[in-house]
Amino acid sequence: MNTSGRIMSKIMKMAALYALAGAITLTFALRAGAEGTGTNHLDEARISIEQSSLTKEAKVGILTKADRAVTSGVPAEDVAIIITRGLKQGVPGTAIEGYLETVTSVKKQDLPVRLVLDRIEQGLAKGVPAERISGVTQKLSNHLAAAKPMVERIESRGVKPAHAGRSGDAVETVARALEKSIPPDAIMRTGEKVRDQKGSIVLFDRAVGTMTVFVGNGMRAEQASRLVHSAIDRGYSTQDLDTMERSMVEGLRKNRSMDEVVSGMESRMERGEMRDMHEQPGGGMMGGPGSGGMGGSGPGKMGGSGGMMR
Amino acid sequence: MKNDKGSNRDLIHKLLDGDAAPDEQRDMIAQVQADPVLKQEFDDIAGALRSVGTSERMPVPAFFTAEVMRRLPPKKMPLGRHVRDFLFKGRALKWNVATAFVGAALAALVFTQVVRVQNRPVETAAVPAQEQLVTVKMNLYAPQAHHVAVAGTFNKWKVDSNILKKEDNGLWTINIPLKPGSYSYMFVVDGKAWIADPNAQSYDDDGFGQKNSVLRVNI
Repeated sequence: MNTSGRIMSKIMKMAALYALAGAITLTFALRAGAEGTGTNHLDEARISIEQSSLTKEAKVGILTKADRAVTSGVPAEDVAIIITRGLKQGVPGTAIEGYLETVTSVKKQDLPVRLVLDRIEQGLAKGVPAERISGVTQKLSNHLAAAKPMVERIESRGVKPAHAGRSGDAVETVARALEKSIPPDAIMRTGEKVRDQKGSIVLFDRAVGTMTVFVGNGMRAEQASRLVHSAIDRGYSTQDLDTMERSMVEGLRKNRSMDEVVSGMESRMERGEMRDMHEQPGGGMMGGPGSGGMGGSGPGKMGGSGGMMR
Repeated sequence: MKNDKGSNRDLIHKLLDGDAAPDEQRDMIAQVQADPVLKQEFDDIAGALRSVGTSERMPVPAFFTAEVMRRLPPKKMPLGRHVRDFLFKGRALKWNVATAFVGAALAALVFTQVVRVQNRPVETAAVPAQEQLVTVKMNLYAPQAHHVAVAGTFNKWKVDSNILKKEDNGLWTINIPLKPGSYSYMFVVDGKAWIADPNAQSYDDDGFGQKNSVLRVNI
């Protein structure tokens, strides 16, 4: 082989080696980019477990359950929050394992897991006793399992699914309604009324959510379903249902009884007053629609909530 | 005669090459010395060998072969033959382990990129309403408080990620960009007291016996 041939051969070999090294680095970088965030969260949780005073068996038990949860599709960040927050609050290892088992089970049943995760994370943040969190989340996961076929039935009866993911939202909302002891019949009836109005699953979701808020604030389930069904029959939108919720809150703030609030709302609905007047949400409003952007990528709206600690 | 000449030459070569045994060598030298013709031939060959051994060796230039090949008259082929050879002539693929690794790595890289592209959600020109952010201002009047945070479904109930700022009039405020949706939240005063927003849009049972504030963000 002549000199130029040898030089070319060397150049080609070096290029091949650099290409190999580059390809390997890039492949790992892509994988790390995809998994990096989750890995960091789990590392944080692993450190918390190692530094805890739990027994070796308990540490291994939590790590095993955490691995199963992530493998089943539970976000690593949430798994890490449950572990670190639980350990910080002094929750026993068995209880943490139980939480992870519950979310893994929910995920494996192909149910939306966000609501259960939120309830565990919230309970731990607020310092709710561990066994109380376990009981509540276990019941909630049962309600989710019952809610899913209900939403599927409602969709099969003609309520339009809006976008991907909204069915999952509706399953969570129905589960919360069941948790508040709203009868399944009232929920199914809501679905029928939404279908009759040619509404989508988004309207159904909000209608059931409003019923749940009403009941959560002390209204009887029968009153809540009557009000919401009447609203759907009148063609109320999701914003109108927001207005109804605000109206109930305003009534309670004025120290009216719930019965007075309900009859007042029914009278206003009769008069056609209980509709969205394009008000801004929140008591401490700061400007109306388009009153100036605040760094968001949205339309420049600056809604608000505000209150006084008495 | 010819045979004699041939055998003599073999004898000389054997002697000069040092292939003969010592006894044989002695006999051969005596034979050469005895025969003048043979001696003359021996001297000529030995002289030629010495001359070759002492002469300067010229290195063959590296480009010698290429230069010779270049100077050969080009073999003229019709264009059709060129095309046919290019398309149909059998080729031998030379490979080595390093090249195979590079090929495999590049193939894997291309495959992962294809999978990533296929799994990527279809992007539309307009930002979907669900992705747009709305800045929400939250505030709490708490002149005696030393520290106020807000925790809720938008921050996984973290008590240290959204800290309110105190103003001179005792009002604590914060602006939070949120996607459209429904959020539950509470204020956390001085790291221990969980307080529902007194002026929230709505309230909901938190499942543990307390009331969360509810915020609905619409576009």
